[in-house]
Formats: sequence, C-alpha cells, structure tokens
Amino acid sequence: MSIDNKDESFELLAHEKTISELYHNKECKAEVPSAQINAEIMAMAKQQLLDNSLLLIKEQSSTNKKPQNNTKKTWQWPFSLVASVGILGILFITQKDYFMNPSNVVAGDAGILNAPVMRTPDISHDRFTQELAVAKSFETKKTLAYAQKSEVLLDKRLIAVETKAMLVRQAAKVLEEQMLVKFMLKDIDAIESPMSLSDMSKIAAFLKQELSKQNKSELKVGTSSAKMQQNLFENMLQYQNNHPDFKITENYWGVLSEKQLQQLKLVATEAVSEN
Amino acid sequence: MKLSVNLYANNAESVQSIAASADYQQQTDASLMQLYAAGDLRAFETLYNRHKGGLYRYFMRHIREPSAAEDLYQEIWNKVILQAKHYKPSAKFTTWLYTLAHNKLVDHVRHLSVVNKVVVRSHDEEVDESPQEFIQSQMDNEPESILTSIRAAESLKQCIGQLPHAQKDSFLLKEEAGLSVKEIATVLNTSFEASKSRLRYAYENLRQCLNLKTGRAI
Repeated sequence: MSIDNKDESFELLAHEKTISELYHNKECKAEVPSAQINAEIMAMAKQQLLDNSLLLIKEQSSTNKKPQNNTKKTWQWPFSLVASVGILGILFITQKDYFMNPSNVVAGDAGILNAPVMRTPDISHDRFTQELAVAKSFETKKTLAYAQKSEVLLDKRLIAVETKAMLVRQAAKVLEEQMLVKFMLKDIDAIESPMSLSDMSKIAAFLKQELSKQNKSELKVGTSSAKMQQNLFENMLQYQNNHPDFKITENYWGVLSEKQLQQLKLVATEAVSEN
Repeated sequence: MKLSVNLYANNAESVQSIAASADYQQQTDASLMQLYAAGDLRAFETLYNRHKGGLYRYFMRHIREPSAAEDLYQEIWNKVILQAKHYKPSAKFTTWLYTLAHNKLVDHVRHLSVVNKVVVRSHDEEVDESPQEFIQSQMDNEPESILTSIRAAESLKQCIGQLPHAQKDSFLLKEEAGLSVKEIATVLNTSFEASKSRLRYAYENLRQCLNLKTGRAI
C-alpha cells in the first residue's frame, strides 16, 4: 500500500488527502458545543481558580503561624538534651558510691548483704555460660538476702509475741490474785460455811507471799491481810474441832502468829484427850 | 470631548485585549495550562477555544445521543480544570486530553453494557476485513440513504458513523485532534503499526463508502 511502513513516518495518499480535505470543510466542522456548555465550562474554570486562591490564602495564613512552631522545634532539642544531662547528673550524685566504688555498696536497707557485688570470673570463653553463672549467683544472693531478712523479721515477731504473752500472763496473775482477795474478803464478811483444806492452804500461801513481799514476820493489824490471817485462824480452829487427827503443817507456821499457833495446838491436844 | 475620551479609552482597551489574545494564541498548550494553573483565566479560555470543537466532535461522532456526548465532553473539561494544578508538560497536551477522552468513552461504553453491540473488534479482525465486504454490508443496511445522499460532507459524516469503532477512533484522532500516528498509538495503547494499519483501512473504507454515496470516484 505504501512505502512508509518501515519507519515511523506516515504520509497520506492522494485519496486520503482528498478525504481529509473534505472532512475539514465547513460543513463537517459545523458541530461545535453550544454557548451554554461553553459558559458552564468557563464558570467551572473560574470557580476552580477561586477555590485555588482561597486555598492559597489558607496556606499562607498557616505559613504565618509556622514560625512559632519553628521556634518550638528549634528549642525542643536543646531542652531535651539539658533535661537528659540533668537527670543523669542527679543519678550520678545520688548513686555516687555505686559508680565510684561498686565493691563498697551494701545491698538492701537492712545491710543484710555485706558482701560486695561479685564479679563473675572469666572462667570460660563461652559467653552464655558466663551470663548463666552471673544470673545464678545473683539469684542465690537474692534468695539468701531474702531468707536472712525474713529470719530477722521472724525473730522480731517472736520477741514481740513472747513479750505480749508475758504481759498477758502477768495480767492474768494479777487478775487471779485480785479475784482471790475479793473471794476471801467475801468469805470474811460472811463466814457461814467452813473452808476446805485446799482453800486454807491457798490463803496460807498467799499470806506467806505477802509477808515475803513486805519482809516482815508479822502482818499489820487492820489490813486486809490481817483480816485474812484472822479468818484463816478461825477456819483452822473450826477444822481442828471437826477433824481431831488434823496436824498443822509447816505451811501455816510462818503465816499465823505465835499466839494463834499456840491456841490451835491447845485445841488439838484437847481434842486428842477427849478422844 | 468626553465622548472622544471614552472612545479613546475603549479603543485602548480593545487594542490591549487584542494584543493579549494574540500573545495567548502564540502560547503552546502546555504553557497555557501552566498559566491557568497560576490563576490566569484567559489562558484557559484560549486553550478551550483551541480544542473545544475537535473534542466535541470526537464525542459526537462516537456517540449517537448528543446529550450523552455533551455530558462526556463536560466531564473531560472538568477533569482538565481539576488537574491543571498538577499538570506536568511531560507529554503533548493534545495527547493527554484525547487519552482522557478515549478512556472516558471506553468507560461510558462499558457502563452502558453495549460493548458487544458496538463494533469493537480486535486489530487482527479489522486487518482481515476487506473494504469491499464492509461497503457491501453498509449497502445492505442502508441502500436508500446511500443513493439519495448528495452532499459529500454529509455523506462523509455518515460514512464515518459507519466505520468500525477502532478505525473511527484512529481517523478522528488524526483529523480532529491532529495527532500523529505515534500519538494515536499512545492514546489507543496500541503499536505504531496497528494504528497505521487502522488509519489506512479507515481512509479506504471511507473512500469506497463515499464513491458509493456520491456516485463519483475519489
């Protein structure tokens, strides 16, 4: 058909030129967009320009604000640097001993681990084994420290418990004595039933204790102890009458007065003679 | 006195505007686009006036329904307006414009689901089709219109309308947009040889169609 197939040129043939000329006639080119369409497209173009200008104004206003941000950004790094240095400085000052001489550092507040922090010797070249050994030693120390700490705490607690128990015991004793005194005083006020031998021995023991406290051989007249002594004597007399074979034991010797003891002996001998 | 001053002012304005429009006319499409992107509406007006007819007819020849063609035409210009800000003159403006138009047209055809009805044949099929067969088929379809048509221009339009889609596309890009074969190949995303072959067949088909329509040899 043509010789222009090999290169990228394209030449119209004679009949093709005729057709092309025919196509470019006025009649073929008569079709054009209406005035309304043209106006609409031009309006779109104008609107777009307006939008662009508005956008530009916005951008400019935002760029005017940017210097503040820039100053903020420019000072951000120095501030953060100064803050970091400050924190490190404080850390160094507070932990000076650790940094200067780590061997003197005592672990824990209670000073349980007085031994310096061990550095694992470079036994093997295997780094993993080394790290494992360090971890193990650290774990052992930690456990030991914890055990010792807990022991101390336990001791403290035991002491506290014992002290409390002692106090309770003392309080109970005092309470018991008070109860006994009250009980005896009641008996003194109204002796209706005779005392048993055990009660009498209890009173005797109490009176003995009172005498030893006062470091005296005789009780004061008019005191509660004297009243108790009199009460004991009366009961013993009654008991002696009822039980002729009763013998006054050593418990009562120091407690009763000599006069009372003599009277009791007399009663005892009378009872034996009667029998 | 006042009247003469006004006349002088009006004349000065008109002279200025003529000079300005002459300046715009001398500008290339790419520089006009850049001027418009910079905010010059006159630049766009010049660019629009330069290409409005060709693009409008490109759509009108492809789509029989004028309202649909006008819609597509407006959409393309809207796209040009929106993309003016980002336009980079890496390729010829006309090539870019007609690539947009061609893609839009293909989308439209697909959207209407008439792809199968529209004669979109593969390049091989078109090459194999002889002009004689094509003319015979046209005669079978519209024998009366062929015989009665006297005006060559009108006949040519009719013949263009009867061309296969790809041939029509190539012909319109050549005649309306003034693109070279290489540029047509770029727009249609085909090889140079295929585009050239389509053009040759298009002209040949039109020649035979016109011979039959007008009754005289071209």
